[in-house]
Amino acid sequence: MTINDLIHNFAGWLDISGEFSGIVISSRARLARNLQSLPFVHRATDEQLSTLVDTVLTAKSQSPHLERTTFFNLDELSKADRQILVERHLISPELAKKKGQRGILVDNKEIVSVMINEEDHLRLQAIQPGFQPRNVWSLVDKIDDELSGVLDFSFSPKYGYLTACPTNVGTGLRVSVLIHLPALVLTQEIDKVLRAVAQVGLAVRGFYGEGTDVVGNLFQISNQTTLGKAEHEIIEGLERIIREVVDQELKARGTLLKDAKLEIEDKVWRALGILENARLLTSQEFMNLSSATRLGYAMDLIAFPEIKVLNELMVLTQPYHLQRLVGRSLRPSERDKIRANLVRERLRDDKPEGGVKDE
Amino acid sequence: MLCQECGEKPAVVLFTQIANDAKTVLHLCVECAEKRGFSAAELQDKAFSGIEDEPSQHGELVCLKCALSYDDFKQSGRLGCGQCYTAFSEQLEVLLKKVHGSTRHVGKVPSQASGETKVRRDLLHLRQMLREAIKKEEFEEAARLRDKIRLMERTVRNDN
Repeated sequence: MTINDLIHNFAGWLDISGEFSGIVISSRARLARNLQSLPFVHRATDEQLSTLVDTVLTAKSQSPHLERTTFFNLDELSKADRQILVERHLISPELAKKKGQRGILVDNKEIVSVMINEEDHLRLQAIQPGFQPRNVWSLVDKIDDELSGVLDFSFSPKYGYLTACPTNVGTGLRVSVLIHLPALVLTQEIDKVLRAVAQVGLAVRGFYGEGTDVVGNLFQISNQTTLGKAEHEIIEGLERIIREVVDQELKARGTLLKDAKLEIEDKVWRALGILENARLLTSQEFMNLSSATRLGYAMDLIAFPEIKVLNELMVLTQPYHLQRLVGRSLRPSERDKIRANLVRERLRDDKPEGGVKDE
Repeated sequence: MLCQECGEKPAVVLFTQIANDAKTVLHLCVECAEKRGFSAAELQDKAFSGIEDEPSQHGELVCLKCALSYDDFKQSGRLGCGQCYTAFSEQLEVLLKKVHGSTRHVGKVPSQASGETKVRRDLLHLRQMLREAIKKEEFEEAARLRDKIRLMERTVRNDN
């Protein structure tokens, strides 16, 4: 698999299956692991980093889940191609900036992946569409078992899995959901809900993870602590809170339908109208309009476009994806034109025969 | 390494004393360092600066495996190796309690190394040596390793 294959790939997590797919885009789990024999990444020599990459590449043949993964060595990728991996949510913006022997193993559905030499030696990751924290945990758990058969992970009975940053020590588990909360934003209840989420020890982050902004009403919610709770407790805790947040969002959608049906319909239809007709679209505008359209589809106000199409466009309309699609670097204004063209074409292709009737 | 004073507890402090132009370096445990007049808090803060013409002393918490000092950790927020958790355990427990509300791991433990696991590890090691031999174009060695790997793989299969 090459970067070009990735661009044309429909990542597994963009599909719509799993619970609450009208609200929860995806669920993700990651496990931080380090090898006992080497210092942590930021204290390792280039040679040690390279040894680690070699060790993992050899070990992957022992793991049925990783056997058929492709390795992308960041050292051998251009800056633009590294950003493609960030835009596909495969690597962190942090990892993309670093030099040296680092990279990612990824399967062809982009469901399981392993970041090598980011903050920790290994970050085992799994991502699935919709609300399924248990399934993504079970995937990384299996990969961890497979690898721990051949690799000596740094572990202390007292502190658990040892990590470069003490905020990840213990289980090394971070489980998160990418969740769409437009009605809570519209009804201005979002701050209250997010405060409550933070109070029970969960973290709220932006679209690309830690230290990034919220776009298109998409929030990433994850557990904050990793020590003192077993994995299943961490997952159950997150599940419980997310169910409550989903509940609040559904209530807010109900309120909108009851108190402001015409206004909300107007907002949704206008958004769709612009997406179908615009000649220039900034990335910010696309994310906002697609948020309104996504809401409209989930609330049965419109029968098109499907969530799946919006998910796919969400990935494809990002700057580095657009540049890869046309095969050259683009000025922002050119990007806006190509983004608008891409969205128009994709929506035209997806539109049911005879158009969509307003009911 | 054990404390050079009591010879019992693990040494976690690198103790440097400069007196009359003579430098003495001692590896000490926390208790013995405290006996020399350093409190654990002072050890973290490295709040010692020598006064000229007088014997000066420097005390610093250092991980003896990777040489990361507790000060380095405070600056970067990253530990140097797994051993750092032992070297700085007293200070870290305070931090862990604050961050996680707990200082003890509950949950998954690495799967125990069974007989089969050992064979798989050995195989992994051999495959790594094979890759290196091929890289260095040492083909005789590579062939020898390849045969050994095949033999081991056959043994594993027969066992199953």
